[in-house]
Amino acid sequence: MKPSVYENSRDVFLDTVNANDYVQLERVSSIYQSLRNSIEKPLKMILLYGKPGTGKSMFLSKLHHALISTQKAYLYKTPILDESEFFKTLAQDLYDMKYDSELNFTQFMKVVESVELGSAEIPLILLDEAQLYSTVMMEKIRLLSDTRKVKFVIALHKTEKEDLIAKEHFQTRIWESIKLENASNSELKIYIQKKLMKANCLDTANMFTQKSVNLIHKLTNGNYRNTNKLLYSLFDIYMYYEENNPIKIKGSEISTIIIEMSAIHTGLINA
Amino acid sequence: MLDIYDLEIRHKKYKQKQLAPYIAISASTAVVIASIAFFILYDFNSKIEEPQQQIVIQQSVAKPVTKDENSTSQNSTAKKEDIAVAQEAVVKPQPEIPKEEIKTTPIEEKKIEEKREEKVILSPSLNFINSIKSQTPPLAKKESSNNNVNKEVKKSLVETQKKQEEAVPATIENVKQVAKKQEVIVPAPPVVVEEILAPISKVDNKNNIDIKRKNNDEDDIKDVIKRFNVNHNPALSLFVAKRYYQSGEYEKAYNYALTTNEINNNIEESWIIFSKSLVKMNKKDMAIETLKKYIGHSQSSQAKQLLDDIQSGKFK
Repeated sequence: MKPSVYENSRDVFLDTVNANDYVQLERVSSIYQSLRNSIEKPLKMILLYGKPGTGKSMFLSKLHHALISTQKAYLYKTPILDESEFFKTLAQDLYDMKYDSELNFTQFMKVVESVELGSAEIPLILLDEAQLYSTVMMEKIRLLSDTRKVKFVIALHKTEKEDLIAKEHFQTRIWESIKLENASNSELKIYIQKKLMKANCLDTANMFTQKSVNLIHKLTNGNYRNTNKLLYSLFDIYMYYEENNPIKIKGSEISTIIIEMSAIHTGLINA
Repeated sequence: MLDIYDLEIRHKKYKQKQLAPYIAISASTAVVIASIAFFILYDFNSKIEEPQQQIVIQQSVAKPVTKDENSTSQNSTAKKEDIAVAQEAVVKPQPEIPKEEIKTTPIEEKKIEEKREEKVILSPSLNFINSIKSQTPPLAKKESSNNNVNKEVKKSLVETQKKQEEAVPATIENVKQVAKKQEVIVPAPPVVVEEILAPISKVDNKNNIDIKRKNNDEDDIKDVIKRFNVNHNPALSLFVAKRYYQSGEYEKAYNYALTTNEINNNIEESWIIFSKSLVKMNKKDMAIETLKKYIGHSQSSQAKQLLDDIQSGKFK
Protein backbone atom coordinates (compact mmCIF):
# COMPACT_ATOMS: atom_id res chain seq x y z
CA MET A 1 0.00 0.00 0.00
CA LYS A 2 1.30 3.42 -0.96
CA PRO A 3 1.95 5.64 2.05
CA SER A 4 -0.28 8.67 2.24
CA VAL A 5 1.03 12.21 1.91
CA TYR A 6 0.29 12.73 5.57
CA GLU A 7 2.37 9.74 6.56
CA ASN A 8 5.36 11.05 4.60
CA SER A 9 4.88 14.47 6.10
CA ARG A 10 4.69 12.99 9.55
CA ASP A 11 7.96 11.15 9.15
CA VAL A 12 9.70 14.36 8.13
CA PHE A 13 9.24 15.58 11.67
CA LEU A 14 10.65 12.57 13.45
CA ASP A 15 12.90 14.03 16.12
CA THR A 16 16.21 12.75 14.85
CA VAL A 17 19.55 14.49 14.52
CA ASN A 18 20.60 13.95 10.97
CA ALA A 19 22.88 16.36 9.17
CA ASN A 20 21.05 15.66 5.93
CA ASP A 21 17.84 16.97 7.45
CA TYR A 22 19.48 20.22 8.37
CA VAL A 23 17.36 23.15 7.20
CA GLN A 24 19.30 26.15 6.11
CA LEU A 25 17.73 29.25 7.54
CA GLU A 26 19.16 32.67 6.88
CA ARG A 27 20.02 33.49 10.46
CA VAL A 28 21.23 30.00 11.29
CA SER A 29 23.36 29.82 8.15
CA SER A 30 25.12 33.07 9.07
CA ILE A 31 25.80 31.64 12.52
CA TYR A 32 27.04 28.48 10.94
CA GLN A 33 29.37 30.41 8.69
CA SER A 34 30.80 32.38 11.60
CA LEU A 35 31.38 29.11 13.44
CA ARG A 36 33.21 27.72 10.44
CA ASN A 37 35.39 30.81 10.41
CA SER A 38 36.07 30.52 14.11
CA ILE A 39 37.22 26.95 13.77
CA GLU A 40 39.82 27.97 11.22
CA LYS A 41 41.28 30.43 13.70
CA PRO A 42 43.73 29.21 16.38
CA LEU A 43 41.05 29.18 19.06
CA LYS A 44 41.14 26.95 22.06
CA MET A 45 37.43 26.62 22.69
CA ILE A 46 34.16 27.56 21.08
CA LEU A 47 31.04 27.65 23.17
CA LEU A 48 27.72 26.96 21.53
CA TYR A 49 24.82 27.55 23.81
CA GLY A 50 21.06 27.94 23.72
CA LYS A 51 17.85 26.60 25.14
CA PRO A 52 16.94 22.96 24.57
CA GLY A 53 15.54 22.37 21.11
CA THR A 54 17.16 25.39 19.52
CA GLY A 55 19.19 23.19 17.20
CA LYS A 56 22.54 22.84 18.95
CA SER A 57 22.82 19.14 18.32
CA MET A 58 21.76 19.55 14.71
CA PHE A 59 24.26 22.38 14.41
CA LEU A 60 27.11 20.22 15.72
CA SER A 61 26.00 17.37 13.54
CA LYS A 62 25.97 19.59 10.48
CA LEU A 63 29.37 21.00 11.38
CA HIS A 64 30.82 17.56 11.95
CA HIS A 65 29.37 16.40 8.67
CA ALA A 66 30.89 19.37 6.86
CA LEU A 67 34.33 19.13 8.48
CA ILE A 68 34.93 15.44 8.54
CA SER A 69 36.03 15.33 4.92
CA THR A 70 38.68 18.05 5.40
CA GLN A 71 39.99 17.60 8.93
CA LYS A 72 39.96 15.47 12.00
CA ALA A 73 36.67 16.14 13.75
CA TYR A 74 35.08 14.00 16.38
CA LEU A 75 31.54 14.40 17.56
CA TYR A 76 30.47 13.07 20.93
CA LYS A 77 26.69 13.36 21.01
CA THR A 78 26.38 11.89 24.47
CA PRO A 79 28.79 12.81 27.22
CA ILE A 80 31.28 10.22 28.41
CA LEU A 81 30.97 10.77 32.09
CA ASP A 82 33.67 8.39 33.27
CA GLU A 83 36.99 10.22 33.22
CA SER A 84 39.18 7.28 32.24
CA GLU A 85 36.75 6.22 29.58
CA PHE A 86 36.64 9.76 28.24
CA PHE A 87 40.43 10.00 27.88
CA LYS A 88 40.76 6.47 26.51
CA THR A 89 38.13 7.28 23.84
CA LEU A 90 39.95 10.51 22.94
CA ALA A 91 43.34 8.71 22.77
CA GLN A 92 41.96 6.09 20.48
CA ASP A 93 40.06 8.52 18.19
CA LEU A 94 42.75 11.22 18.06
CA TYR A 95 45.92 9.16 18.11
CA ASP A 96 44.81 5.57 17.48
CA MET A 97 46.13 4.55 20.88
CA LYS A 98 44.32 1.76 22.60
CA TYR A 99 44.46 1.54 26.36
CA ASP A 100 43.11 -1.53 28.07
CA SER A 101 43.99 -0.29 31.51
CA GLU A 102 43.00 2.95 33.19
CA LEU A 103 44.08 6.22 31.55
CA ASN A 104 44.08 9.18 33.86
CA PHE A 105 44.32 12.85 32.97
CA THR A 106 48.08 13.15 33.64
CA GLN A 107 48.88 10.19 31.40
CA PHE A 108 46.65 11.54 28.63
CA MET A 109 48.25 14.99 28.90
CA LYS A 110 51.68 13.40 28.37
CA VAL A 111 50.36 11.67 25.28
CA VAL A 112 48.88 14.89 23.90
CA GLU A 113 52.03 16.90 24.55
CA SER A 114 54.23 14.27 22.94
CA VAL A 115 52.35 14.46 19.64
CA GLU A 116 53.73 16.91 17.16
CA LEU A 117 51.03 18.23 14.80
CA GLY A 118 50.82 20.95 12.19
CA SER A 119 48.29 23.69 12.72
CA ALA A 120 46.03 22.26 10.00
CA GLU A 121 46.03 18.90 11.65
CA ILE A 122 44.80 19.99 15.03
CA PRO A 123 41.84 17.75 15.74
CA LEU A 124 38.44 19.21 16.59
CA ILE A 125 36.35 17.65 19.32
CA LEU A 126 32.66 18.42 19.35
CA LEU A 127 31.06 17.82 22.73
CA ASP A 128 27.28 17.88 22.86
CA GLU A 129 25.31 18.12 26.10
CA ALA A 130 28.43 19.41 27.82
CA GLN A 131 26.38 20.66 30.76
CA LEU A 132 26.37 17.04 31.95
CA TYR A 133 30.10 16.98 32.49
CA SER A 134 31.25 17.61 36.02
CA THR A 135 33.03 20.78 36.95
CA VAL A 136 36.27 18.90 37.52
CA MET A 137 35.96 17.30 34.13
CA MET A 138 35.31 20.62 32.52
CA GLU A 139 38.41 21.99 34.19
CA LYS A 140 40.47 19.16 32.71
CA ILE A 141 38.97 19.82 29.28
CA ARG A 142 40.06 23.43 29.69
CA LEU A 143 43.61 22.34 30.53
CA LEU A 144 43.62 20.09 27.48
CA SER A 145 42.63 22.99 25.25
CA ASP A 146 45.44 25.05 26.78
CA THR A 147 47.95 22.66 25.19
CA ARG A 148 46.77 23.95 21.77
CA LYS A 149 47.02 20.37 20.54
CA VAL A 150 43.27 19.93 20.45
CA LYS A 151 40.26 22.25 19.81
CA PHE A 152 36.91 21.95 21.48
CA VAL A 153 33.45 23.00 20.41
CA ILE A 154 31.23 22.67 23.42
CA ALA A 155 27.48 22.75 23.13
CA LEU A 156 25.46 23.22 26.28
CA HIS A 157 22.02 24.35 27.39
CA LYS A 158 21.86 27.91 28.39
CA THR A 159 20.64 28.05 31.94
CA GLU A 160 21.76 30.12 34.87
CA LYS A 161 23.99 27.27 35.94
CA GLU A 162 25.58 27.00 32.53
CA ASP A 163 26.14 30.69 32.45
CA LEU A 164 28.03 30.36 35.69
CA ILE A 165 30.13 27.55 34.29
CA ALA A 166 30.87 29.59 31.22
CA LYS A 167 31.89 32.56 33.27
CA GLU A 168 33.86 30.82 35.95
CA HIS A 169 35.76 28.22 34.01
CA PHE A 170 35.93 29.31 30.45
CA GLN A 171 35.73 33.03 30.43
CA THR A 172 39.38 33.53 29.63
CA ARG A 173 39.69 30.60 27.27
CA ILE A 174 36.52 30.87 25.25
CA TRP A 175 37.42 32.81 22.17
CA GLU A 176 34.11 32.44 20.50
CA SER A 177 30.70 32.18 22.00
CA ILE A 178 27.71 31.50 19.80
CA LYS A 179 24.15 31.62 20.96
CA LEU A 180 21.36 29.73 19.26
CA GLU A 181 17.81 30.94 19.67
CA ASN A 182 14.29 29.81 18.88
CA ALA A 183 12.90 30.53 15.45
CA SER A 184 10.82 33.57 14.70
CA ASN A 185 7.38 33.26 13.03
CA SER A 186 8.74 33.67 9.53
CA GLU A 187 11.74 31.39 10.23
CA LEU A 188 9.43 28.73 11.56
CA LYS A 189 7.31 28.86 8.43
CA ILE A 190 10.42 28.51 6.25
CA TYR A 191 11.69 25.70 8.47
CA ILE A 192 8.43 23.73 8.20
CA GLN A 193 7.98 24.28 4.50
CA LYS A 194 11.61 23.57 3.62
CA LYS A 195 11.54 20.43 5.68
CA LEU A 196 8.39 19.21 3.92
CA MET A 197 9.60 20.20 0.47
CA LYS A 198 12.83 18.31 1.01
CA ALA A 199 10.65 15.22 1.37
CA ASN A 200 8.59 16.19 -1.68
CA CYS A 201 5.51 16.92 0.44
CA LEU A 202 4.59 20.03 -1.50
CA ASP A 203 0.85 19.72 -0.89
CA THR A 204 1.19 19.64 2.85
CA ALA A 205 3.86 22.36 2.74
CA ASN A 206 1.35 24.64 1.02
CA MET A 207 -1.23 23.94 3.70
CA PHE A 208 0.78 25.92 6.23
CA THR A 209 -0.49 29.48 6.04
CA GLN A 210 1.01 32.25 8.13
CA LYS A 211 -2.03 32.01 10.42
CA SER A 212 -1.45 28.33 11.20
CA VAL A 213 2.28 28.91 11.56
CA ASN A 214 1.57 31.75 13.98
CA LEU A 215 -0.49 29.41 16.08
CA ILE A 216 2.24 26.77 15.98
CA HIS A 217 4.79 29.41 16.95
CA LYS A 218 2.57 30.53 19.78
CA LEU A 219 2.37 26.96 21.04
CA THR A 220 6.00 25.99 20.56
CA ASN A 221 7.57 29.39 21.06
CA GLY A 222 9.59 28.71 17.92
CA ASN A 223 11.39 25.78 19.49
CA TYR A 224 12.44 23.37 16.76
CA ARG A 225 12.15 20.21 18.82
CA ASN A 226 8.67 21.11 20.05
CA THR A 227 7.67 22.06 16.53
CA ASN A 228 8.85 18.69 15.25
CA LYS A 229 6.91 16.91 17.97
CA LEU A 230 3.79 18.95 17.33
CA LEU A 231 3.87 18.47 13.57
CA TYR A 232 4.54 14.78 13.90
CA SER A 233 1.49 14.46 16.08
CA LEU A 234 -0.49 16.72 13.76
CA PHE A 235 0.12 14.58 10.72
CA ASP A 236 -0.59 11.52 12.81
CA ILE A 237 -4.06 12.94 13.50
CA TYR A 238 -4.44 13.83 9.84
CA MET A 239 -3.66 10.25 8.97
CA TYR A 240 -6.34 9.03 11.35
CA TYR A 241 -8.97 11.37 9.93
CA GLU A 242 -7.95 10.49 6.40
CA GLU A 243 -8.84 6.92 7.14
CA ASN A 244 -11.82 7.36 9.43
CA ASN A 245 -13.38 10.77 8.99
CA PRO A 246 -12.07 12.55 5.88
CA ILE A 247 -14.70 15.29 6.12
CA LYS A 248 -12.77 16.78 9.02
CA ILE A 249 -9.68 17.43 6.95
CA LYS A 250 -11.24 18.59 3.70
CA GLY A 251 -9.93 22.16 4.08
CA SER A 252 -7.00 23.43 2.05
CA GLU A 253 -5.29 24.78 5.17
CA ILE A 254 -4.02 23.11 8.27
CA SER A 255 -6.93 22.89 10.70
CA THR A 256 -6.57 25.01 13.80
CA ILE A 257 -8.51 22.43 15.74
CA ILE A 258 -6.09 19.69 14.77
CA ILE A 259 -3.13 21.90 15.67
CA GLU A 260 -4.65 22.40 19.09
CA MET A 261 -5.44 18.70 19.42
CA SER A 262 -1.85 17.78 18.59
CA ALA A 263 -0.65 20.41 21.08
CA ILE A 264 -2.83 18.76 23.72
CA HIS A 265 -1.45 15.40 22.75
CA THR A 266 2.17 16.54 22.96
CA GLY A 267 1.59 18.37 26.20
CA LEU A 268 2.12 21.85 24.83
CA ILE A 269 -1.43 22.64 25.89
CA ASN A 270 -2.42 21.57 29.34
CA ALA A 271 -6.03 20.50 28.89
CA MET B 1 -1.33 5.05 18.99
CA LEU B 2 -3.51 8.12 19.08
CA ASP B 3 -6.75 8.03 21.00
CA ILE B 4 -8.56 10.54 18.83
CA TYR B 5 -11.85 10.28 20.68
CA ASP B 6 -10.16 11.17 23.98
CA LEU B 7 -8.21 13.91 22.25
CA GLU B 8 -11.40 15.41 20.83
CA ILE B 9 -13.02 15.47 24.27
CA ARG B 10 -9.94 17.09 25.78
CA HIS B 11 -9.95 19.64 22.98
CA LYS B 12 -13.59 20.47 23.62
CA LYS B 13 -12.83 21.00 27.30
CA TYR B 14 -9.84 23.12 26.38
CA LYS B 15 -11.97 25.33 24.12
CA GLN B 16 -14.55 25.68 26.85
CA LYS B 17 -11.83 26.70 29.28
CA GLN B 18 -10.44 29.11 26.72
CA LEU B 19 -13.82 30.71 26.11
CA ALA B 20 -14.81 30.79 29.78
CA PRO B 21 -13.11 34.10 30.60
CA TYR B 22 -14.60 35.75 27.50
CA ILE B 23 -18.04 34.46 28.41
CA ALA B 24 -17.54 35.63 31.98
CA ILE B 25 -16.38 39.07 30.84
CA SER B 26 -19.23 39.47 28.36
CA ALA B 27 -21.75 38.24 30.94
CA SER B 28 -20.41 40.59 33.58
CA THR B 29 -20.44 43.53 31.17
CA ALA B 30 -24.00 42.63 30.22
CA VAL B 31 -24.94 42.55 33.90
CA VAL B 32 -23.21 45.87 34.49
CA ILE B 33 -24.95 47.47 31.52
CA ALA B 34 -28.29 46.04 32.60
CA SER B 35 -27.81 47.27 36.16
CA ILE B 36 -26.78 50.74 34.95
CA ALA B 37 -29.82 50.83 32.70
CA PHE B 38 -32.00 49.67 35.56
CA PHE B 39 -30.68 52.34 37.92
CA ILE B 40 -31.12 55.01 35.30
CA LEU B 41 -34.70 53.92 34.69
CA TYR B 42 -35.31 53.53 38.40
CA ASP B 43 -34.14 57.08 39.12
CA PHE B 44 -36.25 58.36 36.29
CA ASN B 45 -39.35 56.63 37.60
CA SER B 46 -38.76 57.80 41.13
CA LYS B 47 -38.38 61.35 39.87
CA ILE B 48 -41.74 61.04 38.22
CA GLU B 49 -43.43 59.44 41.20
CA GLU B 50 -42.34 61.90 43.89
CA PRO B 51 -43.69 65.05 42.29
CA GLN B 52 -46.98 63.31 41.59
CA GLN B 53 -47.43 62.84 45.31
CA GLN B 54 -46.63 66.47 45.87
CA ILE B 55 -49.06 67.52 43.25
CA VAL B 56 -51.83 65.64 45.02
CA ILE B 57 -51.12 67.62 48.17
CA GLN B 58 -50.86 70.83 46.26
CA GLN B 59 -54.06 70.24 44.40
CA SER B 60 -55.87 69.81 47.68
CA VAL B 61 -54.35 73.11 48.74
CA ALA B 62 -55.26 74.64 45.45
CA LYS B 63 -59.00 74.24 45.88
CA PRO B 64 -59.63 77.11 48.31
CA VAL B 65 -57.39 79.27 46.22
CA THR B 66 -59.54 78.75 43.15
CA LYS B 67 -62.43 80.05 45.17
CA ASP B 68 -60.40 83.09 46.07
CA GLU B 69 -59.52 83.40 42.47
CA ASN B 70 -63.19 83.44 41.66
CA SER B 71 -63.72 86.21 44.12
CA THR B 72 -60.79 88.11 42.69
CA SER B 73 -62.08 87.39 39.25
CA GLN B 74 -65.36 88.80 40.39
CA ASN B 75 -63.48 91.82 41.58
CA SER B 76 -61.76 91.99 38.27
CA THR B 77 -65.07 91.71 36.43
CA ALA B 78 -66.44 94.44 38.61
CA LYS B 79 -63.37 96.43 37.79
CA LYS B 80 -63.92 95.78 34.13
CA GLU B 81 -67.49 96.96 34.45
CA ASP B 82 -66.31 100.10 36.18
CA ILE B 83 -63.88 100.74 33.43
CA ALA B 84 -66.45 100.04 30.76
CA VAL B 85 -68.90 102.41 32.37
CA ALA B 86 -66.23 104.99 32.77
CA GLN B 87 -65.44 104.67 29.11
CA GLU B 88 -69.05 105.43 28.42
CA ALA B 89 -68.43 108.77 30.09
CA VAL B 90 -66.31 109.53 27.02
CA VAL B 91 -63.08 109.99 28.97
CA LYS B 92 -60.75 107.84 26.91
CA PRO B 93 -57.37 108.00 28.69
CA GLN B 94 -58.98 107.17 31.95
CA PRO B 95 -56.58 105.94 34.64
CA GLU B 96 -57.38 102.66 36.29
CA ILE B 97 -59.18 102.72 39.58
CA PRO B 98 -56.77 102.06 42.43
CA LYS B 99 -56.80 98.69 44.17
CA GLU B 100 -58.19 100.14 47.34
CA GLU B 101 -61.28 101.05 45.43
CA ILE B 102 -61.48 97.60 43.85
CA LYS B 103 -61.27 95.95 47.20
CA THR B 104 -64.37 97.67 48.49
CA THR B 105 -66.59 96.01 51.00
CA PRO B 106 -69.67 94.16 49.77
CA ILE B 107 -71.91 96.88 51.25
CA GLU B 108 -70.19 99.53 49.20
CA GLU B 109 -70.47 97.38 46.10
CA LYS B 110 -74.13 96.98 46.72
CA LYS B 111 -74.54 100.72 47.10
CA ILE B 112 -72.73 101.27 43.83
CA GLU B 113 -74.90 98.73 42.12
CA GLU B 114 -78.01 100.40 43.49
CA LYS B 115 -76.74 103.74 42.29
CA ARG B 116 -76.09 102.27 38.85
CA GLU B 117 -79.58 100.94 38.71
CA GLU B 118 -80.97 104.32 39.72
CA LYS B 119 -78.78 106.49 37.56
CA VAL B 120 -78.82 104.11 34.63
CA ILE B 121 -76.05 105.45 32.41
CA LEU B 122 -74.63 108.46 34.10
CA SER B 123 -73.80 107.12 37.53
CA PRO B 124 -70.35 105.69 36.68
CA SER B 125 -69.18 108.98 35.28
CA LEU B 126 -70.13 110.51 38.56
CA ASN B 127 -67.86 108.12 40.38
CA PHE B 128 -65.06 109.04 38.10
CA ILE B 129 -65.68 112.69 38.69
CA ASN B 130 -65.80 112.00 42.41
CA SER B 131 -62.44 110.37 42.23
CA ILE B 132 -61.06 113.35 40.37
CA LYS B 133 -62.55 115.55 43.00
CA SER B 134 -60.89 113.57 45.76
CA GLN B 135 -57.55 113.99 44.05
CA THR B 136 -57.75 117.63 43.09
CA PRO B 137 -57.82 119.42 46.49
CA PRO B 138 -54.27 118.55 47.54
CA LEU B 139 -53.12 119.72 44.15
CA ALA B 140 -54.81 123.00 44.76
CA LYS B 141 -53.00 123.32 48.06
CA LYS B 142 -49.63 122.25 46.79
CA GLU B 143 -49.63 124.18 43.60
CA SER B 144 -50.84 127.67 44.32
CA SER B 145 -49.84 128.77 40.83
CA ASN B 146 -52.42 126.66 39.07
CA ASN B 147 -53.74 128.22 35.95
CA ASN B 148 -57.20 129.62 35.50
CA VAL B 149 -58.37 126.71 33.47
CA ASN B 150 -57.85 124.38 36.41
CA LYS B 151 -59.81 126.66 38.66
CA GLU B 152 -62.61 126.81 36.19
CA VAL B 153 -62.60 123.08 35.90
CA LYS B 154 -62.70 122.76 39.64
CA LYS B 155 -65.59 125.07 39.83
CA SER B 156 -67.40 123.28 37.07
CA LEU B 157 -66.70 119.98 38.74
CA VAL B 158 -67.98 121.24 42.07
CA GLU B 159 -71.02 122.59 40.37
CA THR B 160 -71.71 119.40 38.51
CA GLN B 161 -71.19 117.44 41.69
CA LYS B 162 -73.62 119.60 43.53
CA LYS B 163 -76.04 119.29 40.70
CA GLN B 164 -75.65 115.57 40.67
CA GLU B 165 -76.22 115.38 44.38
CA GLU B 166 -79.31 117.36 43.87
CA ALA B 167 -80.25 115.21 40.92
CA VAL B 168 -80.27 111.93 42.87
CA PRO B 169 -83.81 112.28 44.11
CA ALA B 170 -84.83 114.17 40.98
CA THR B 171 -87.06 112.97 38.19
CA ILE B 172 -85.96 111.61 34.82
CA GLU B 173 -86.30 115.06 33.39
CA ASN B 174 -83.79 116.36 35.81
CA VAL B 175 -81.53 113.55 34.79
CA LYS B 176 -81.92 114.54 31.17
CA GLN B 177 -81.11 118.10 32.06
CA VAL B 178 -78.00 116.99 33.85
CA ALA B 179 -77.16 114.88 30.86
CA LYS B 180 -77.56 117.87 28.61
CA LYS B 181 -75.28 119.83 30.85
CA GLN B 182 -72.77 117.06 30.78
CA GLU B 183 -73.08 116.90 27.05
CA VAL B 184 -72.14 120.47 27.09
CA ILE B 185 -69.14 119.63 29.15
CA VAL B 186 -68.36 116.53 27.16
CA PRO B 187 -66.18 118.18 24.50
CA ALA B 188 -64.10 119.76 27.22
CA PRO B 189 -63.23 116.83 29.51
CA PRO B 190 -60.85 114.93 27.21
CA VAL B 191 -58.68 117.99 27.06
CA VAL B 192 -59.33 119.13 30.58
CA VAL B 193 -58.81 115.77 32.15
CA GLU B 194 -55.53 115.40 30.44
CA GLU B 195 -54.50 118.72 31.82
CA ILE B 196 -55.59 117.65 35.23
CA LEU B 197 -53.75 114.38 34.92
CA ALA B 198 -50.53 116.14 34.18
CA PRO B 199 -50.12 117.65 37.64
CA ILE B 200 -51.30 114.40 39.18
CA SER B 201 -48.59 112.55 37.38
CA LYS B 202 -46.12 115.06 38.72
CA VAL B 203 -47.21 114.43 42.26
CA ASP B 204 -47.66 110.67 42.04
CA ASN B 205 -45.72 109.40 39.09
CA LYS B 206 -45.32 105.88 40.45
CA ASN B 207 -49.02 105.19 40.52
CA ASN B 208 -49.42 106.34 36.98
CA ILE B 209 -46.55 104.20 35.65
CA ASP B 210 -47.75 101.20 37.55
CA ILE B 211 -51.19 101.46 36.14
CA LYS B 212 -49.96 101.65 32.60
CA ARG B 213 -47.68 98.71 33.07
CA LYS B 214 -50.42 96.74 34.62
CA ASN B 215 -52.60 97.32 31.66
CA ASN B 216 -49.82 96.15 29.36
CA ASP B 217 -49.04 93.19 31.57
CA GLU B 218 -52.62 92.14 31.67
CA ASP B 219 -52.82 92.22 27.92
CA ASP B 220 -49.59 90.28 27.68
CA ILE B 221 -50.68 87.79 30.28
CA LYS B 222 -54.07 87.31 28.62
CA ASP B 223 -52.34 86.71 25.35
CA VAL B 224 -49.92 84.27 26.95
CA ILE B 225 -52.76 82.51 28.77
CA LYS B 226 -54.60 82.11 25.45
CA ARG B 227 -51.50 80.62 23.91
CA PHE B 228 -50.98 78.40 26.93
CA ASN B 229 -54.56 77.11 26.72
CA VAL B 230 -53.87 76.08 23.14
CA ASN B 231 -50.48 74.38 23.44
CA HIS B 232 -50.06 73.79 27.22
CA ASN B 233 -46.45 74.84 27.09
CA PRO B 234 -45.04 74.91 30.64
CA ALA B 235 -42.75 77.80 29.69
CA LEU B 236 -45.84 79.94 29.07
CA SER B 237 -47.55 78.99 32.33
CA LEU B 238 -44.29 79.68 34.16
CA PHE B 239 -44.12 83.08 32.48
CA VAL B 240 -47.66 83.83 33.63
CA ALA B 241 -46.86 82.63 37.15
CA LYS B 242 -43.79 84.86 37.28
CA ARG B 243 -45.72 87.86 36.01
CA TYR B 244 -48.49 87.35 38.52
CA TYR B 245 -45.93 86.95 41.28
CA GLN B 246 -44.20 90.15 40.25
CA SER B 247 -47.49 91.97 40.21
CA GLY B 248 -48.30 90.66 43.68
CA GLU B 249 -51.11 88.36 42.61
CA TYR B 250 -49.72 85.47 44.55
CA GLU B 251 -52.76 83.22 44.34
CA LYS B 252 -52.71 83.35 40.56
CA ALA B 253 -48.96 82.94 40.59
CA TYR B 254 -49.44 79.91 42.83
CA ASN B 255 -52.03 78.41 40.50
CA TYR B 256 -49.96 78.87 37.37
CA ALA B 257 -46.82 77.55 39.07
CA LEU B 258 -48.86 74.54 40.14
CA THR B 259 -50.09 74.06 36.58
CA THR B 260 -46.50 74.31 35.35
CA ASN B 261 -45.39 71.70 37.85
CA GLU B 262 -48.18 69.39 36.75
CA ILE B 263 -47.00 69.60 33.17
CA ASN B 264 -43.28 69.42 33.97
CA ASN B 265 -42.18 68.71 37.49
CA ASN B 266 -38.50 69.40 36.87
CA ILE B 267 -38.63 73.16 36.38
CA GLU B 268 -36.75 74.59 39.32
CA GLU B 269 -37.96 78.14 38.77
CA SER B 270 -41.58 77.02 38.87
CA TRP B 271 -41.08 75.32 42.23
CA ILE B 272 -39.39 78.46 43.54
CA ILE B 273 -42.32 80.68 42.42
CA PHE B 274 -44.73 78.12 43.82
CA SER B 275 -43.02 78.15 47.24
CA LYS B 276 -42.59 81.91 47.30
CA SER B 277 -46.27 82.35 46.48
CA LEU B 278 -47.17 80.02 49.32
CA VAL B 279 -45.09 82.12 51.72
CA LYS B 280 -46.76 85.25 50.45
CA MET B 281 -50.11 83.60 51.02
CA ASN B 282 -49.09 82.99 54.65
CA LYS B 283 -48.66 79.29 54.07
CA LYS B 284 -45.06 79.20 55.18
CA ASP B 285 -45.22 75.64 56.56
CA MET B 286 -46.56 74.31 53.31
CA ALA B 287 -43.88 76.21 51.39
CA ILE B 288 -41.17 74.68 53.60
CA GLU B 289 -42.64 71.21 53.20
CA THR B 290 -42.88 71.59 49.42
CA LEU B 291 -39.32 72.88 49.16
CA LYS B 292 -37.98 70.05 51.31
CA LYS B 293 -39.65 67.48 49.09
CA TYR B 294 -38.38 69.16 45.98
CA ILE B 295 -34.83 69.40 47.38
CA GLY B 296 -35.11 65.73 48.33
CA HIS B 297 -35.26 64.64 44.73
CA SER B 298 -33.57 67.48 42.87
CA GLN B 299 -30.78 68.75 45.19
CA SER B 300 -31.50 72.22 43.87
CA SER B 301 -29.16 74.76 45.44
CA GLN B 302 -31.53 77.61 44.68
CA ALA B 303 -34.35 75.79 46.42
CA LYS B 304 -32.07 75.12 49.39
CA GLN B 305 -31.19 78.77 49.63
CA LEU B 306 -34.83 79.77 49.48
CA LEU B 307 -35.66 77.22 52.15
CA ASP B 308 -32.97 78.68 54.40
CA ASP B 309 -34.25 82.18 53.74
CA ILE B 310 -37.81 81.17 54.56
CA GLN B 311 -36.79 79.30 57.69
CA SER B 312 -34.56 82.10 58.91
CA GLY B 313 -37.25 84.65 58.14
CA LYS B 314 -35.23 86.51 55.54
CA PHE B 315 -37.91 85.81 52.99
CA LYS B 316 -41.34 86.85 54.14
